[in-house]
Amino acid sequence: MEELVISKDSMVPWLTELLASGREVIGVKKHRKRYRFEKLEKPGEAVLDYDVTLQSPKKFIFPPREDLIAFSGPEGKRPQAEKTERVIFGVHPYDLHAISLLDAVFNDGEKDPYYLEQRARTILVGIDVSKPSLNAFCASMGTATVEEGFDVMLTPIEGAYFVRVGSAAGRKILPKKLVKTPTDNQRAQFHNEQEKAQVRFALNRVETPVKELPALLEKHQHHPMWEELEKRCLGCGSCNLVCPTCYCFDVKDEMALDLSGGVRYRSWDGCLLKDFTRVGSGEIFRESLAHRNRHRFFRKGKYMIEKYQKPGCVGCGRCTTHCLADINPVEVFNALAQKEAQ
Amino acid sequence: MNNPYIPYLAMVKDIRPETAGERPINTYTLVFKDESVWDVFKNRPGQCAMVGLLGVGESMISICSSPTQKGYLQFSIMKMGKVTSAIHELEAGDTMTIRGPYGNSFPVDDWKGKKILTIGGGIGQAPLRPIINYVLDNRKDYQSLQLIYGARTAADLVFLKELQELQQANGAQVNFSVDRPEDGWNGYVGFVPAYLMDLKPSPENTIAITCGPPIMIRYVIENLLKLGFKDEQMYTTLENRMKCGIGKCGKCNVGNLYVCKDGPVFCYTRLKTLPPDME
Repeated sequence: MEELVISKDSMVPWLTELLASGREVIGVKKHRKRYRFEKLEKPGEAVLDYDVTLQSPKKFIFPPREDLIAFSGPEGKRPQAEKTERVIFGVHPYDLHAISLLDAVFNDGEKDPYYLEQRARTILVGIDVSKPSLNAFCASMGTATVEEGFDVMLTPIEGAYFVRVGSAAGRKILPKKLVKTPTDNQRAQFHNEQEKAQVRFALNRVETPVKELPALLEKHQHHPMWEELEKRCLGCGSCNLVCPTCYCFDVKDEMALDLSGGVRYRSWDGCLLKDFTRVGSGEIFRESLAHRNRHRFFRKGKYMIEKYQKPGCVGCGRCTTHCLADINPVEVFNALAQKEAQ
Repeated sequence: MNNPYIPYLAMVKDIRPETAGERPINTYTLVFKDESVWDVFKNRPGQCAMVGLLGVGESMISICSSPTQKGYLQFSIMKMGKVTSAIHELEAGDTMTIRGPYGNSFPVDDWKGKKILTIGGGIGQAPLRPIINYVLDNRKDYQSLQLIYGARTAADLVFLKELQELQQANGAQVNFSVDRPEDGWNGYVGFVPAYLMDLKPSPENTIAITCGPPIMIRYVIENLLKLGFKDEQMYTTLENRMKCGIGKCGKCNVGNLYVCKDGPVFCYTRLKTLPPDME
């Protein structure tokens, strides 16, 4: 993998160049006390030392609402897809891991053209975390750093960013005149930073190694924890809404007001919501919140790992931050493991 | 890239009422508007398809005709929710949409030389119909065919006429039951699992396939085990909420499987390993 450095002062000129290139540029902007991924208008708006964003950049590749089919007669057609190249600038390692999982899901078996086309026009510029967020536990999920799944990866070092080039598309968007070959000292700093990243998130730890989570959950299908979560969980689906790896969706049809046509669209759905499994007869397959919570944690800690050899939870901590009932994956997984130890 | 969400267009060729009442069931015979769709649409017994109407939505329905019935597809649809109610408004000649076929299928080839026993309840007879028709169309490949089929009342039995004809011809044994006694009914009265214990079919060289309400399936399997059936001799077909049909939308996820893609047909050896979500 090609390794370079770029000075911190070069970021604004680089972003200026990207914005002038006609590409859509997404970056992190500060919104009162929080951060969110948004379209950049000016190069100086981009924040690179944020802790965590409200939503992951998933929302650009897999939008909350996406038209699948437009129709005005009996036959439906796919609406015209946007093709402009897009750069998402400043994606944290855990969110890159989440996108890798989504790539695996939408490529598996019958391919999903909507996701894959959005993905193909997206160039990911990652950045290592300098300020960990309060609830992140990504080191224990193996997602505090990243080896692949980016086009360009930046690691803050003294006065500069260490640059790893992950693809030809990534190389193309680098400002040729502003990047240099790293010195031995800068390489050493980079490796040091990668190790420090593991320590930086040591505050919150899932004690069970990721590859042992499936077996842990398998053993605890009937653990009293699920009933306890039923008492606490409000079934609001906030965890699903902010999760970078949740991709379940609903499909609905909508007619134009004059009934001349309409669209069939998909929108994000969440397995914690009661209607998620409601069928025409009114039957709900996972009625109880104990079962819905168990399903959520089994998907994150078991099914995704078994199916795609990647963790279904990347430890970003967003669900913990937004849960009104203080349900925290670290506590859930550790409580199951504690029973194990006894 | 192929777009799996764009449906084929089909014409409603025939509508056959099966049952009346508040939740009527009709059997719809559909033909593709573009005949070349048959080059890619190769359904096997037990598979499903997304049928629907643009502007209303889609429902996953099992294909109740057998692949040996060529040039059309049949779906028995109960008027239940939004989509199926809209389908019940259709008339012959109207247009519907189809995507599929989806899911795995009954391993009818592996069952050659065996005795086939289907145990159905209510609309659950629909997914069993392609097996019955397939076995009848390849009769010499199978040792025998027995059907146990029950519904709440005689008027709720679907495919009644063709199953009665079956009883008279083809050497198939057909056992009907209704839940409660009623005038003019000479057959068995009681629930399907109890009727099964009454009939005591031999497990020897037999494959039992059951479909119906979840509670019925549970007791049928319990009773089949009592009769000496082994796990690998029992099959069922499941339903769940489904939106995409291709293992993406996550709705029908049970364990690390998707009912739309890894099911709907499950041998009991696999069924019993699924997490108890549907308790």
